[in-house]
Amino acid sequence: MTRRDLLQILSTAPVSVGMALAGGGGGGRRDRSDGRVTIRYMAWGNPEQIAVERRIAREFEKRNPGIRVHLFMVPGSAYADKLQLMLASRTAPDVMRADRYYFPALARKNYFLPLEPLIAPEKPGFLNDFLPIAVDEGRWNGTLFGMNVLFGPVMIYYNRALFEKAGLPDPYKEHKRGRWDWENFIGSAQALTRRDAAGRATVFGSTVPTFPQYVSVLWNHGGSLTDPNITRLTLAEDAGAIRGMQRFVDMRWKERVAPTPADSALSAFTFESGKIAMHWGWAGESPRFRKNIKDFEWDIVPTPSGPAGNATVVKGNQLVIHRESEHPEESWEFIKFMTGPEAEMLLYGELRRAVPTRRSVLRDPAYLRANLPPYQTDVFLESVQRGRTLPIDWRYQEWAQEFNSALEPLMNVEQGSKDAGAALARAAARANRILGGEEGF
Amino acid sequence: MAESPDVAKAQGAVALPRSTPREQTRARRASFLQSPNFWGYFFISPWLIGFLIFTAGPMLASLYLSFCKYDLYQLQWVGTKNYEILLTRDPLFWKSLGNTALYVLFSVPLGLTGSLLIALLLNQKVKGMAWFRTLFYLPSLVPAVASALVWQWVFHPDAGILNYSLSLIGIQGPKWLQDPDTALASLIIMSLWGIGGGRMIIFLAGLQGISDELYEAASLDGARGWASFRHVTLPMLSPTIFFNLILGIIGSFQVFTSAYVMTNGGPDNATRMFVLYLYDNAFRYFKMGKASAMAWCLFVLLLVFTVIQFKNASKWVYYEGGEKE
Repeated sequence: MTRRDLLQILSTAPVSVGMALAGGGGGGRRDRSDGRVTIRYMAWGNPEQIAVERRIAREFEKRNPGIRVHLFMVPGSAYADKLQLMLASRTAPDVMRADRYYFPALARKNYFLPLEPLIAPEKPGFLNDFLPIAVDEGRWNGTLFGMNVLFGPVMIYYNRALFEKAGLPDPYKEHKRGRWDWENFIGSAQALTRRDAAGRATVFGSTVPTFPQYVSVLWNHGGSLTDPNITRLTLAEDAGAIRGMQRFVDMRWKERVAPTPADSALSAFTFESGKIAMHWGWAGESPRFRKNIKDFEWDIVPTPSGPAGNATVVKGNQLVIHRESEHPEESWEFIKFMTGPEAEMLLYGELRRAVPTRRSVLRDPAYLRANLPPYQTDVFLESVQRGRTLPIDWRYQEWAQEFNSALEPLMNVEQGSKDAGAALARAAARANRILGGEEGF
Repeated sequence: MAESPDVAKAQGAVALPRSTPREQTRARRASFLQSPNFWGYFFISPWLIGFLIFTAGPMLASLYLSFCKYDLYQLQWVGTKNYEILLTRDPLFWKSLGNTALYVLFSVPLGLTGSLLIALLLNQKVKGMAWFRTLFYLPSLVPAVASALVWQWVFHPDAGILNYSLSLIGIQGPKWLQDPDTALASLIIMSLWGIGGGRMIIFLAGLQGISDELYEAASLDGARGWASFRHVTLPMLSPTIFFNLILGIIGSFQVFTSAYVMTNGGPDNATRMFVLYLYDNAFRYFKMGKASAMAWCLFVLLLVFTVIQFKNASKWVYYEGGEKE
């Protein structure tokens, strides 16, 4: 080895080590032994979901013998940071899953490959089978960068046994009769809340959803969160939003049908424990409930309607291709397969992790037929039909943090819960300072 | 005037062969290799290289970045704009600095006093002292995240041991971490968890370094108890107190883990500490320029604090063998 060789090795070593630590370098590569193209796919999820995605990847490899999918999982808590750093260091995998919460922030940095040129050679009307609301989530400034997966609404999971014990009508039947509104929801929650002789709650009627799950309450009371272009939060000047927020907060501090933060902190009041009658949650929570709940029957119902509508919050993840991928065509084939009818049936029909983005699958009797809870699968269909996407822009992480922080006295302290209007004015002012601030500072 | 070579030869002197440049270089190299400086640098070179690559390099890079707008995608020189915005237009910068200053103001004196008291207790000649020392040191071995989680339970408004203890004497405890009025106080109380740790060990070492002769002399002069502590222990321990004070202030200004794990800055930014806000800017909002500027603001602030303390040290720190100014 010459001195020059040694210097060369030493100079490239830190880069090589860095790339190895970041999960390997570059995008896809051609395997020297069998000539197959390897594309790398990064995602996160619980073990059940990972198992299904692995099955989908193996099935894809069978159909596409020239492509190998290297699926690697990153813990959910570290995923956003890892994704951002891999993109910045140009070591990102070919295909990635990006949560809607930070997809716009990444898309604006030009990290992803526009999908329209890859879709162009497909059959005309390729996108027609997809739910428009799901497709729109993958757009940034009018360009399609991501295909939606693990899409789903916020729903109410309910403990059927507690409803029967309280002598209340089944909320699903109430919903079918068109009577599942906010009054009915609160009335049920009050009847379901149980207290011991000392006045301590033993069962609560409902959980209190966190932001942005509860935004539908504001919508359904006639309010909105932001202006259409998300340049500022408008809810503090919106009587409907203030009314919705007050009713929502009253659930905890006035009607006392939901646990306070002190109650929740001990994890004693969870839906799985049987001490919560109704739980506001994403569609993706059902595998966890199926696994953990053995003692009572449960099912799903849409979120309650309000005086001004019956919208439901929907959100998904975006499957995107790294702009610097060496194998965009192969990556697109994989995304196409992941969002194809077969994979969707496996992902959502078998695992019922979320809602298909394809209308054909959503209406397929094989998807709607259920052998495991939740059985009322038409709720998925209906919730998506009522679905409304959240106003998430590229600064969402920052303004949402400030907005939530300002609302904490309203949500967490009884004395602060009297005046939702004042609290919203304060929260909106702080969030608007960020939205109106100069970019990048 | 120097003799010519011919004259020297004529006088019978042996002419020394003149060394070539190569030989001179070799000789210089040999002398350098034999010098203590070379071996000193050689043996500290692993640290030195690590310092240059992992500390000095990133510090210089962050200094440069603090004058840029950098979101991990585009780098743009913006001059002093990050500093200008932080100092004039970012209320959270001042809020987080205020929270941190309050935290430092209470946690440092309380922590120093607590550590010193424990060290004084553990410096007594009592049977089984080694066990007591171990017992008091144990809490500091618990990882910060684990102890933060334990303290979340301690502060639980309904089931926490703190409010339960208060209820026994007829006091209804506050909501601690959930109330903006008491959340910062909760973190200050929690900081006392570490009083039996490294700081206490340093005090203990300082106490054991005080000569018994001084106490004997003081005792002959009639000094007992408090007087002995005031006039012997405290002056002799003042360099240790000074050392712990400097480290305590620097460490407390950098408080992060407890706020990150227990409150994430809430409620209502009541526990948004300076370094937590810096972390948010860097790794949640990816405003690397702004975060770097914050880091340099903190560096300058700590530097100023430390310099002031060193300037004032001569008024109260007594070094054995040295003279008090």
